[in-house]
Amino acid sequence: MNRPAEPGDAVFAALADRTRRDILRMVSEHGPTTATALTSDLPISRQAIARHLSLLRAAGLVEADRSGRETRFVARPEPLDDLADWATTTGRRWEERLARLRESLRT
Amino acid sequence: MEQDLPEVHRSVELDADLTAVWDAVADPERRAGWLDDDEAAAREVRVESVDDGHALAWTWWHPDDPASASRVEIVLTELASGGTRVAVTERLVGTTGTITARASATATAGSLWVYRLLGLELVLFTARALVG
Repeated sequence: MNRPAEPGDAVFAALADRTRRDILRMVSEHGPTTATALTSDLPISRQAIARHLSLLRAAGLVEADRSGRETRFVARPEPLDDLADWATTTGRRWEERLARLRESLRT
Repeated sequence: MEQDLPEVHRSVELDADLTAVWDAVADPERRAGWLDDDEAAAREVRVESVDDGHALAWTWWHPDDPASASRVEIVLTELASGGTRVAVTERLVGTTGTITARASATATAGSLWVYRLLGLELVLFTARALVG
């Protein structure tokens, strides 16, 4: 079936938390970032940040790039694209359905 | 203020009166006549609520993909002109079952909490932060 991918539950779960959204925003804006670097912008521990990053990673929203002892995180937009695609496609379908409803009431 | 969920809204104003529009919306056979497309026909439907002559809500999903579940609400309003406004809201809900299965790291799984913080902010954020 050729329907757009629905955003997965893991994406919703990952984005349900405000701190995780903040972290994702920072990673998106700053480019490759370490958990340690994020501690200067957030009032939570490095361990807490690492946990959030791990959930974002499980949802496919960030990618980890390990070089030596350092892990840098990069934002991945694809899962959010799924969400935008869902809204666009769903809206278009309703426009077509409502047009058919209008048509059916004319006859 | 944050919206609860990702939602889509569409509405039309029709010349037909409320009763005629309600019949076309509420009667399953007539509804299928304008509603069904590839997507709608492939979904299982569970009607959630009926407010006679006014509103209808259902949840529907692809049988092979519980995460596709969404809730549709159709509300009819009588217009001063004698016509009828049809307002549709479709909201992605997913399912608590798949959340429970996947989100082992989130102890609060099982309720709909995960969806409550998504919405407009996220869409705006997507557009702003991920371009370039």
